[in-house]
Amino acid sequence: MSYSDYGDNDPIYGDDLADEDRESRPRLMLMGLRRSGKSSIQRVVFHKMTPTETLFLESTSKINKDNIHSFIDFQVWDFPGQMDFFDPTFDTTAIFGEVGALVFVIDSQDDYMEALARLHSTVVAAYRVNPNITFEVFIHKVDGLSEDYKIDTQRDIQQTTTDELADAGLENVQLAFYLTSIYDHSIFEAFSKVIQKLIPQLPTLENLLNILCANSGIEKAFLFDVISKIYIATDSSPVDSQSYEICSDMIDVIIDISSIYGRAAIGAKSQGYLEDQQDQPEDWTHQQDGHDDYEDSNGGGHGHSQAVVSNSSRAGSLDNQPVQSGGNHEAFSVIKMGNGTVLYLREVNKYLALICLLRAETFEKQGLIDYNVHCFKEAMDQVFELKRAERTRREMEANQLLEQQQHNGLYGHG
Amino acid sequence: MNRDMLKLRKDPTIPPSAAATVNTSTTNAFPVSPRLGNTGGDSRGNRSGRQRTSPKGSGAGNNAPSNSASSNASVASTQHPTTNGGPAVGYNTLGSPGYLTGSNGLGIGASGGGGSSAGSPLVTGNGGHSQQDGTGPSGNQSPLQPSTSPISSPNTFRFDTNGALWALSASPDYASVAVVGRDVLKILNVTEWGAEEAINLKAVGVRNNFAGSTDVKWGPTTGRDAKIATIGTNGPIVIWDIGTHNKIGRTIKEHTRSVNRICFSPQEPNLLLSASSDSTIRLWDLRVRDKPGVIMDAKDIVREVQFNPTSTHDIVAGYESGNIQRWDLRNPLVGEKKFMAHMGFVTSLDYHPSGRFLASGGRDRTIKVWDMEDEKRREIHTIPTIQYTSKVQWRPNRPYQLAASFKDESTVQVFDVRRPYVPLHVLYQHDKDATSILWKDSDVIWTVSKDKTFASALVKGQTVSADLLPGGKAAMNCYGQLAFTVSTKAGPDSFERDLVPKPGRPNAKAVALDGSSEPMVYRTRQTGGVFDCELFNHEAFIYCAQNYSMEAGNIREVCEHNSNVAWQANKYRDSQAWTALKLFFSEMAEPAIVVSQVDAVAPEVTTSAGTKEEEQQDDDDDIDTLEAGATKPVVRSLFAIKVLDAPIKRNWSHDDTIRNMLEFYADQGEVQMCVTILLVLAEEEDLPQFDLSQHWFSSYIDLLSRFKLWSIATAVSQACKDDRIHTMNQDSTTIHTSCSSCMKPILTRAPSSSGFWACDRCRKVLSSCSVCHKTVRGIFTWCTQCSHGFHLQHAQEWFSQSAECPTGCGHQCFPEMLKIQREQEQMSLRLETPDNETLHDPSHPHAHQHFPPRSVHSHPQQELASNQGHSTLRATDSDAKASSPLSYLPYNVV
Repeated sequence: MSYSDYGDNDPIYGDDLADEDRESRPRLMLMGLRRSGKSSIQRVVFHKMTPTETLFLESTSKINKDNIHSFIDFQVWDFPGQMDFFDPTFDTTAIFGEVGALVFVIDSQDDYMEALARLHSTVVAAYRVNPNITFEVFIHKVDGLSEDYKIDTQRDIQQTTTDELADAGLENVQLAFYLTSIYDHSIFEAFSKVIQKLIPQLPTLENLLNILCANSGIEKAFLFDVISKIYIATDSSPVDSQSYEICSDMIDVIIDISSIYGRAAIGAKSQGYLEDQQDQPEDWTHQQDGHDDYEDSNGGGHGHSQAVVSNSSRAGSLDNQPVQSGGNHEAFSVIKMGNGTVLYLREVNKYLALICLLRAETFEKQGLIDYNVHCFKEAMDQVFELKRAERTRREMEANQLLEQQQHNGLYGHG
Repeated sequence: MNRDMLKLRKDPTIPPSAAATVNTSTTNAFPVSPRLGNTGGDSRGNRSGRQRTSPKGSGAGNNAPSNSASSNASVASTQHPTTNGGPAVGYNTLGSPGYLTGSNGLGIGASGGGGSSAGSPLVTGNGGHSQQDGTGPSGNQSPLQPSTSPISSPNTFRFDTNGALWALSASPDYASVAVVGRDVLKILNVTEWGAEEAINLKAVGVRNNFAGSTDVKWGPTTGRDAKIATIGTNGPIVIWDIGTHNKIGRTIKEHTRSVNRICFSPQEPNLLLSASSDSTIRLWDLRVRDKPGVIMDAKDIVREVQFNPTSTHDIVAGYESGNIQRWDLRNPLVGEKKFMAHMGFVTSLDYHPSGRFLASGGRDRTIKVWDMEDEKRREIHTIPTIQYTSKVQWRPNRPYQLAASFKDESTVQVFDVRRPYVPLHVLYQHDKDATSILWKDSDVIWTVSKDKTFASALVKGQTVSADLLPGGKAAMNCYGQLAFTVSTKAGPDSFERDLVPKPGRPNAKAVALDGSSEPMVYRTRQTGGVFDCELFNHEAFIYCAQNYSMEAGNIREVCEHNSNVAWQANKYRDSQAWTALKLFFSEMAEPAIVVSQVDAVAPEVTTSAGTKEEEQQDDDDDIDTLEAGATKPVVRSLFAIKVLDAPIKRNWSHDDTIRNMLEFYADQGEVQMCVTILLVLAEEEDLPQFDLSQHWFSSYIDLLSRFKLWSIATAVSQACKDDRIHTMNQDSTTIHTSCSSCMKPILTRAPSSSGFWACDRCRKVLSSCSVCHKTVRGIFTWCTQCSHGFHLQHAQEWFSQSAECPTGCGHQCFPEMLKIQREQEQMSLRLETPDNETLHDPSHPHAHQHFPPRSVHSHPQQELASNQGHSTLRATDSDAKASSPLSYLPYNVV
């Protein structure tokens, strides 16, 4: 399963961006020297390629645009490493003008001095065009480095870069640095933080999650984009990697189970089920409903699903309980772990799932948690409703404006 | 393992009520319980505890597994071949409660009866013991002598608040403390003997929808102006006027995202700092309403902020990205010094009382100490911790000590930065995660926990956990050497006396935390040694491994060869065993003796008698020594001996004998024999099956690997028919770059690795040129036999002059050079003194003086190593000798 429509590889030189693309989608640019791992990152995060497969990726020769339809729609642009910004055909304004975030990938196992020089020139060029870009630096391929070496590398890169930018008079440019590797969860975590900066509703979501956590005794709550396993919001307590990893693994488990027990028709569709928002009748939660096939008690296609997971890979004994949910159309799963922690997953909407970590003793009041999560979902819906309303309003205004202009034009001609 | 240990310790949680009923008499018995808090609290004379006879069994029963587990831990850690069993080993066992067992009569009362009567507002462990008041545990009492008399100690109690607690803050006079949690907002009055609830703000909070709080700070103002500030779980900062009436004075909602930490200025009572996820740090003047505070744009999620205690304007902030930055409030537009402190977010910061040093805890499970006045962005101390710290605070009046609480960890640990690997004290006060700590004074620490309790603990007089670590360790290597350490403890509290000046280059700028100019580090009082105990004849093992033939099929010759090999290695018994095997399984093309059990029929005997005698002469020794009883003609009545010209099938099975033989060797631990025999007999059809053969193979391969006999190990693995063994060398092949001096693989993933350029173990520069001692980048040339390497150019230069290795290892790396040299010398002599007749005199000193005598020093270890070098490189030896002993490898520069 992947965001499958990454096919539109228009070279940017022919400026044929749809108006809608220009307007509404934040862009996320992957830049860096050649062979630094940009395409691998894109494939692993957004197309579920396994890290080992990325070895066989060919080098990118032209800009690869990838539309991601999810909770927020955004475009990932994968740049070829050898791109020259000073080429006159390279329209910096067109490229950097709309960018939301610029991710610069540095191969930490290589000599990174050249990369730093390129980073510097990129930042200077982009900042001149668009001061609102957020710059993110991925110190990539750190899986080959020792712990000490990692922190030294980051320290060195960070220091050099900020010093150079300060020398260039750009003290205000803020670069965020992440140590990443496609072989573990760090790349997903880093991307989560990058994407979060592009989400205008983040404070609201965070606040909602805070309230949910405080009132339900939840230790940690994540709002996950199910496909990419990026978390788009979490409560304000610090994220430790284990919590993130186990939640992320849970999604894998749920999706695996649902693809085993899901309906065959959906299984065939799973490649592109996020292809388009309009003609997309099934989403991942429908696959969950496939549990009906083996749980007779539920009956009917719209029964709730129960993930009965038996996973021995973590914490020794994962003790699972099928739990009855409210009977509405949503995926839902609970995994109880041997160390007294409970993982609670609930679908929020087509793209998002809420995953909570809580203690077993808190989970005794499951009704309360179910109710609170329900309230949380409603609040989320309202947030999105607002956004949708806003967009329709804007579109209507734009249409009116257009009509008016046409009208005026007619007048002018008449 | 450490984590498991901790889990183990957590699990046998004795409910407070059970602990309260522990019998006093048991507590005086020395090693009692890993939850020393229980016994400690009890020995202080809980009234109920004294009177009741106890269900101690439950507690003791629970303790048993953790004790045994901890002893396992110590055994396991000895297997690291470390001779300084100090820090590393100590840290391994840090979490294991066994070392702390029964150590401490003066510990913290984990119960004190506190939880047993939840609901009553004032619960202390020592309510009725006024006769002991004021004395407390005397400081000079040895911590290793647990309470010989029940001493009630002040400042050791727990108070149940009916809700998980997240933070605490004390009033300026430390008479009251504010504790907050998800649904708790209380102010407690605290005395030496206990706490009582003074004000419960929850009702007011609920009414105003500010029920839970994640952090609380008590303002420096007192009296009618007293204020506390809390961070509501739903966002705003709430200022409570508690001096006059318990109401909300002000709510600050300006932050667009959640607030993570607040901090009052120690100098200006009305200034409050707030750190928020909206990437700002704001300064609020509580006297001025409606005016937004000073805003500092940190451009990163701010997790923690703190005032410098010695300054009015110097603050420090810790970020989500792991950076720490200093800000000057007088210039809020531009941040000052910023440095990368941790991998992952910064969880906690605390300024040293001197105002110069800073302790920080981060997600990378370390506490680091920074010198904020130093230009270098390097930590001066690092303390590895079991989890990431939730709160760290310096101990007042003890410049080197700090306390920390950890995520998902119920203990609070006090560290001395000079001995970072072993906590100074471990405080067991809580049943669940301790969330925050606060030093009341230099001896008393207050903690709050998710187990709903506020606890006070007396740190003074606590057991020094390092004193409980065993100082002696021993480990053995495969050569039969036993390495051991012996600790010469100078008694308890010897820590301060064992400090030595920090080694390394003297640094003029270095300043110790207490203001003196010489940084000190702890040096363990341990001496170590190596003892050769001849338990395993490794030389014979290696000799046999290298020379045994494992070829199947040709049993007779192979057995004879192996018999000779074993004889050479002084393994006489093995030699005989091989000879016996040879006899059993020989299918001889030459006239063979077949010993068969037949019905004693006289005519058969007589027919074979003629040839028997001449045969006996050939194989006399074999038969005599081995199967004498069976082959002697004496037993003619039972056995017949046939001698035939053609090979015949045996009609007598040796199953039992072979089985006995192999089992005997297996019992002796001689897997070498077991495996070699199995391999030699592999072609035999009716060979008995052995359940353990797989184990024999794997342990033999393991042994061979330990002796670095890689090629033999591979040969064994390949010769084995068992699939699991046979595929062993196909599983995953790891090719390590090894250090040329200590032969350890260079692991770049090792936690303390220094990359590819130096060996972690022996701290030597790798791939250095033996001539110029610089690191070789580019083509690395080395001798395949003594494994010393050079720059190509240097090698050429050197070996044009000499045949011997420039390191002085004595190896003739370039023996051809001897010849050339000799020729050259003769040439030159002939040129210089063409008519000198000494030219042909080999005994003339001049003829030899240019050849340095072969080094005769023989350090056994080194010789051994070079032997192995030969053996492991055997495959390439012939090639090397054929062309040149020098190999060239394009060394990839990293």
